[in-house]
Amino acid sequence: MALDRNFASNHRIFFVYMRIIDADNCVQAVDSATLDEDAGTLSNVHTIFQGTRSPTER
Amino acid sequence: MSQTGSRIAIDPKDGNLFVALGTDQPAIRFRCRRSNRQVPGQGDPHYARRQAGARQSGAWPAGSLVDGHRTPQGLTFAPDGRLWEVEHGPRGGDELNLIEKGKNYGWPVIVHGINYPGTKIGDAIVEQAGARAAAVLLDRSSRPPAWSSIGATSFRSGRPACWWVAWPARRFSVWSWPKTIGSSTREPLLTDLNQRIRDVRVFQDGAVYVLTDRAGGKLLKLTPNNSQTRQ
Repeated sequence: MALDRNFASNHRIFFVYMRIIDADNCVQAVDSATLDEDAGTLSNVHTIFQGTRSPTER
Repeated sequence: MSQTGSRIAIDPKDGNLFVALGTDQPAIRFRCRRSNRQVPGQGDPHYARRQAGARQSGAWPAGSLVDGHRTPQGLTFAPDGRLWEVEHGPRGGDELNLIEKGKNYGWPVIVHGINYPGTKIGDAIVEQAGARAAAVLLDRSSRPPAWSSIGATSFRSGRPACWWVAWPARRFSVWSWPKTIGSSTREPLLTDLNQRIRDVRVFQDGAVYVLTDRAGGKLLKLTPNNSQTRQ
């Protein structure tokens, strides 16, 4: 996870994770979102990068 | 789950986002914040191939910076603006790499170490013309889970340093930034913590936070006063 350079004012974060897209495949994805620290929620979530499929099992 | 590894880092200079991808897509890509920005790499004949599977989205055009990484576990900008990556390699082949645009870092052709079951990897080539050598080849199977530094300063030396975690031995170290390939010194810290450290982050004010993941895991803050820790 990384914080936006202006996180103090815009509360924007970036995070990378494996997104399961079906029973056999997942992809690496990077999303941006606005973090509400008091509510513990994310909003304004956007995928800004998604990789190619890779098998979930090897 | 395949062991791909992936880390992101934001260039403090311009806010561009860099994404390190692992085994399945061994590259470091970057995304520019502004859609009208020229994307380095578009003139590269391999650019289209590299982008074939990457979904373009919105105002974040992508380009590939480098290739040939196995399992990136750390990505950060040094105080001088250079981008560094650390990766979990095969057994005996963990690497600390200085990222230079257009370089190939070898995986899976150029490898240090062997497969974890003990078998040879490919033709066991350790160097090849055109491939970038690791800046530092780390201890055997240190298996780095995290690595971070932005404006970091070594507590003891007062010099800019990177912060490093070695997983199996539960060690935590401060490294000096390598000036040449193979050179670096380290200062072990938290040697009696006896917990697995998952992440380390250095804040702009010099505060260093360490995250552990054991039952009852802790977020520790390191302070310059004799490297004492507190929660």
